[in-house]
Amino acid sequence: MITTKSKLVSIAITLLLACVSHAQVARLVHYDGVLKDSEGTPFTGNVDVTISLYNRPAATEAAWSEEHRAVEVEDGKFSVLLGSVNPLKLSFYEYFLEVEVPGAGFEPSPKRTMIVGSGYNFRMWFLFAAYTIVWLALFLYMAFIGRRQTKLRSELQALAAEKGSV
Amino acid sequence: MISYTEKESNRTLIVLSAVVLIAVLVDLFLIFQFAPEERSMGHVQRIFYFHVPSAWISFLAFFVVFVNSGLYLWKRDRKYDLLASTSAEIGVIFATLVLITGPIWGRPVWNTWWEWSPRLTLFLVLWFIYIAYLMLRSFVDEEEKAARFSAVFGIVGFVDVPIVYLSIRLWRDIHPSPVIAGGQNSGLHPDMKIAFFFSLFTFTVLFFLMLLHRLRVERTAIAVRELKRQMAY
Amino acid sequence: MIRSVTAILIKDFVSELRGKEMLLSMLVFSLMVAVIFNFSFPPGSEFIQEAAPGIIWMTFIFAGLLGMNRSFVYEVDKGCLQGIMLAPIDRAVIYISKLIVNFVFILLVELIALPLFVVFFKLDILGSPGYLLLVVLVSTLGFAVIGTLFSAIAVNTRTREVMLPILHFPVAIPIIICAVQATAAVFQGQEWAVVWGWTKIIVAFDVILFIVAFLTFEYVIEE
Repeated sequence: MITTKSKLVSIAITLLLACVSHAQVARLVHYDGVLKDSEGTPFTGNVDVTISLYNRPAATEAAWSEEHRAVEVEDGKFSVLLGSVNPLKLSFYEYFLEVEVPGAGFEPSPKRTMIVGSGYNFRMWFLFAAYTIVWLALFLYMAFIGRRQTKLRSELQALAAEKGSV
Repeated sequence: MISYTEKESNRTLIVLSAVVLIAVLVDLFLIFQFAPEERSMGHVQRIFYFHVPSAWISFLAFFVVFVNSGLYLWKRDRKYDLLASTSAEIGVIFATLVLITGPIWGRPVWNTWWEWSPRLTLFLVLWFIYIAYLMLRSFVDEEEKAARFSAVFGIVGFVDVPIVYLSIRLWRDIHPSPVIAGGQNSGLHPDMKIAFFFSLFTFTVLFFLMLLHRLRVERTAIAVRELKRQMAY
Repeated sequence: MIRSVTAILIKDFVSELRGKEMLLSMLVFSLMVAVIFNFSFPPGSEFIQEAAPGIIWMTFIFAGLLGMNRSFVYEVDKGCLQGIMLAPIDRAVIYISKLIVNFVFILLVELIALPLFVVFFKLDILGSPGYLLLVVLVSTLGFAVIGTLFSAIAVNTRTREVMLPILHFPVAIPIIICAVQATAAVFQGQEWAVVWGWTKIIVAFDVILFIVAFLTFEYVIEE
């Protein structure tokens, strides 16, 4: 019985390890773009789109690129899932993104855009809120524990005194 | 005897509290002064220094639950059960902090409060598992039964975590939505690394301080119960 | 060991077939849910086909919990468990036999309800009924594996009926995700590799959680 149990345990551990190692999957990034022709009117239809990421604005060799076939563009807007064609396994810190539409006569301007977030100033409030919540929660918990300890201690002392008098 | 050990543990608590106090102050300096501003996210990225350590600490806490649950079933010593239950409670607190700071970070960076990203989803599930753990304890009347049941659940719940994570990762791959692609550690500036690892150290010491305080409360409660039982005779 | 398992199994099946409480309540519940969900979509909506895998599995989970809630109630309330434990058998035998009972009953309900879901929701499974059967088999096994352990715990708590779902749901999340996705893949007529990609996680879940539950069950029912 004991050997069966240890065998079972080792099977469980092996399978768990397999699950953990399997969990490393490539990433996906959502990208929304706008497509206009040379006169500035929004394009509608289907086009092939090539998207590349460069390490530097002037780099000639792309760090990663993939081609999306027949992307649906409606009123100039399209969205693609980077990494859905060619697995995206880059350490994301700062990249320059370039969109190419081969053969359709579109010239992207500006040529490369840096991938950055948006809206800078109001963010300090989020930092402040998160910071306050964390330390307030920890402080309140410690205060709660402290109060319970004091209460229990005095109860213990009262009980001990009562017992002593009996 | 009791007073002696209490004095001992008080001394440990005082030393540990001093360490935590200094560490927190240094940590605040490192987070808000020393660490450079992140280029694409700005100052809000500084949430990272307490969001990620909270996540690690809740994993540590749940691991402590797992180990002590096993030890309890094996040795049947009440101290393991105490360690497991108090650690679960503190782990839930840190997991709650992860779940609160995650959306606060996500809102300005991903432009959404909630994102079914694998890590946030995993923490939601973890939170549910250990809330269930704590509820189970409080819904069983006999102390010894509560200890046994929660030990079993603590083991099952922890073993389940890698499978949950695996299935969430796969599920996310077919239901993607805007996510910052970021192994945060991979692109960290060396100064950020210093701040991060010091933060991790601070939170770890804080975790042990909270654990000791919480254990002391539990021990006093047991002493009160024992005395009452004795006096009832 | 096999003889004692069969002995408990026969006892459970005979008593269930006399009362039919667990089976009937699960079955009626599943059918009602199948009908009621139809009303939550506009008539003729295509969306119901997309939502069908989720609806089917939520129904089976709730029905399964309904049944498993009962599996230890009699044993504890009527003192049967003490009787079984007095017999010179391993505690694991009780777990295995209860697991088989729960598995068979839930599976039975699912096999009756599934064709009705297919008819009500106008689903197409004719392409690969074998895949669907496999998904149902392994997922139900997973539910029963943890459900049997947790129902033995929940029956000892103050809030029996509520405690089982609270313990069961978060732990069962891998099965819920994978079963729904695998079922959706079958309905969409996807190939075997896609279905298996999800099913293998359920299989891993079944094996790992079975081992853990098997080893820890003896600590749950000791008195």
